[in-house]
Amino acid sequence: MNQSEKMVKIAIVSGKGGVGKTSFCGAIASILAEQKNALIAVDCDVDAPNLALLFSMKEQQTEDIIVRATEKARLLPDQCTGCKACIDEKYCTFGALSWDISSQRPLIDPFSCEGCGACSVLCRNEAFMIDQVESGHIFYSRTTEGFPLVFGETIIGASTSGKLVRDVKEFAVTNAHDSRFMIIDGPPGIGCPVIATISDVDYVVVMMEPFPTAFHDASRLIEVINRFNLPFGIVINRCDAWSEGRKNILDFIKANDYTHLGDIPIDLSIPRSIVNMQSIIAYSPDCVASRSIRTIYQNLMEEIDLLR
Amino acid sequence: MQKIIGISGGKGGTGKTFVATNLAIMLAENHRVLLADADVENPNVSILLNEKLEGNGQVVSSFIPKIIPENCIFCGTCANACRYHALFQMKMKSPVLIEPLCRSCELCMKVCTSSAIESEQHAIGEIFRYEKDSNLTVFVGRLFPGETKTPRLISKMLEQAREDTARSSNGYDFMIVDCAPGAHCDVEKALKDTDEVYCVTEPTPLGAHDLKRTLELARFLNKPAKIIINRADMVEYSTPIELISKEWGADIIARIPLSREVMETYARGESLYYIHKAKADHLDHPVLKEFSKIIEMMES
Repeated sequence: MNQSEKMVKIAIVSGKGGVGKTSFCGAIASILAEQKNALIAVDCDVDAPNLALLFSMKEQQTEDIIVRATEKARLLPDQCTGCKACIDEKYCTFGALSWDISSQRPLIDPFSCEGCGACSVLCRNEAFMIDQVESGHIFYSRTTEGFPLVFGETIIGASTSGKLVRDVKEFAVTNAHDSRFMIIDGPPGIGCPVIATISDVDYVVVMMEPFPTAFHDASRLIEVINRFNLPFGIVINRCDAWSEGRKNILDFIKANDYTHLGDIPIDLSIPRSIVNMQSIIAYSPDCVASRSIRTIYQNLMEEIDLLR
Repeated sequence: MQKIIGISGGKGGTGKTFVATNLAIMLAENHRVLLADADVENPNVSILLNEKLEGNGQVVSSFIPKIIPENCIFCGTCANACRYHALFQMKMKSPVLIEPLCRSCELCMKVCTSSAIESEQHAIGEIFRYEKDSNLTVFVGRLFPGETKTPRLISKMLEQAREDTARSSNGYDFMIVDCAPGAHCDVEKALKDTDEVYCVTEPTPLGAHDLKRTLELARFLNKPAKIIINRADMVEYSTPIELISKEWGADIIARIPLSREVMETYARGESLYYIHKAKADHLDHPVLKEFSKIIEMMES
């Protein structure tokens, strides 16, 4: 058995954005590092990667790997006879092909093209090529707190977040070395990038807020998590924002026999720590938020011990 | 004359839906407005409008191949053609579909010469349409949990919304499109036909970082962009946002202050505007004043 098989992968997700995934993820990474646990932090929110903004990097060690995970069609004008079969026979189901009257040739809309290759296979004159295009970056560095951090960032317009998430995770596993924990900051939503993020983790933390929007989004996310049969626990962030909302979440947890890992009250130290570009644990180790996150950390570790 | 405004911004939880719903409600006082919720993974517009999406919406489906084993000659053409590796075929066996990898391009069906692949419709989500009041029509796309074809659902929903605007006799003055967070294909699709993008951000390094990516997307799509800073006074971080505004030529059109009242009305699904309009003090409210500024700009 190699080392990475023993590593515990924990993903932090929320459904709704802005519920505190990144702040919580940064705090858990800081606590793990403080307790001398070998960890690797991974940011899978490849559309808006923010985890690295909470940690100072040892810049000379930053690696930048370009990923070419997207494919797009290109017209070979010399091959095209202008027969218009691609339009008339509707080769493209993504609406990426249109007819340019002036040149009497098809036009490819690169945003709509999903690189399926239908045009290149079906065109009788072989007038379409499928090219690999740059779709994103994977960055790899070591934080000044000592642990490695991997994050991906899509190139605007390349539109393959889910694939890049898988590439980022694969890269992180390969470079995890003797890490015992992989802490993953997940993307918002319940679709493709989220599914790619949680698909092979050991434990999921679901961040909630006592607002109907966050509750609604998190409960849709839990439906997805349950399809993968993954163990998960719930954290209520800004728990004191609205008591009725918090009670609704507690009722929901009780009715479904879910795990409640703990609560984090509103604490303006958190936005201040973000502006200071530090995790809350590093910025204000004894503030209300830091103390509650330490309790949640204990509960999370107990949950994870149960899995072993 | 109809104007289409996309509400985006990059980071989640900056207040996109809050801005979209407030603009729609306030614009609807004097204009015909269509509000489209294009965050189909997490559609929250209706929660903020205190509307329940009753029953089922109109189901949106997408193609998946249905394999007819008795017609299959095991030639392997379909599995070879599929660039997503969604068809798995063993020797002398008909192919098996690995559904999560299928992106509905229909190429397998088009290349099959033995009529062994038929079209099957797989439900991915639903579309709701309702009238919030006589001046405000709402369209919502909602993805079924576990599904991944969000761009298709968004395009379908916006297509219907635009058909609706073309059909209605007196037309709409404004269409507001509330986007998902991020800057990926979902947001691209949602912003595709907008005239202008309003980026809602918060004054933090995270907000600033994601704002730049949204501005980059807007530039890429050739859309003019403007910036709305929400919770503008939460922490002091206005200078970096102002620099971004200058650098990208995107004006800051409103600075909405942090407000406990906003949080409370948000939690209860109440409209801040209606509450203060009833008290006739909406013109002096620090939050609503910022919205009035945006609306004045939109009307001019």
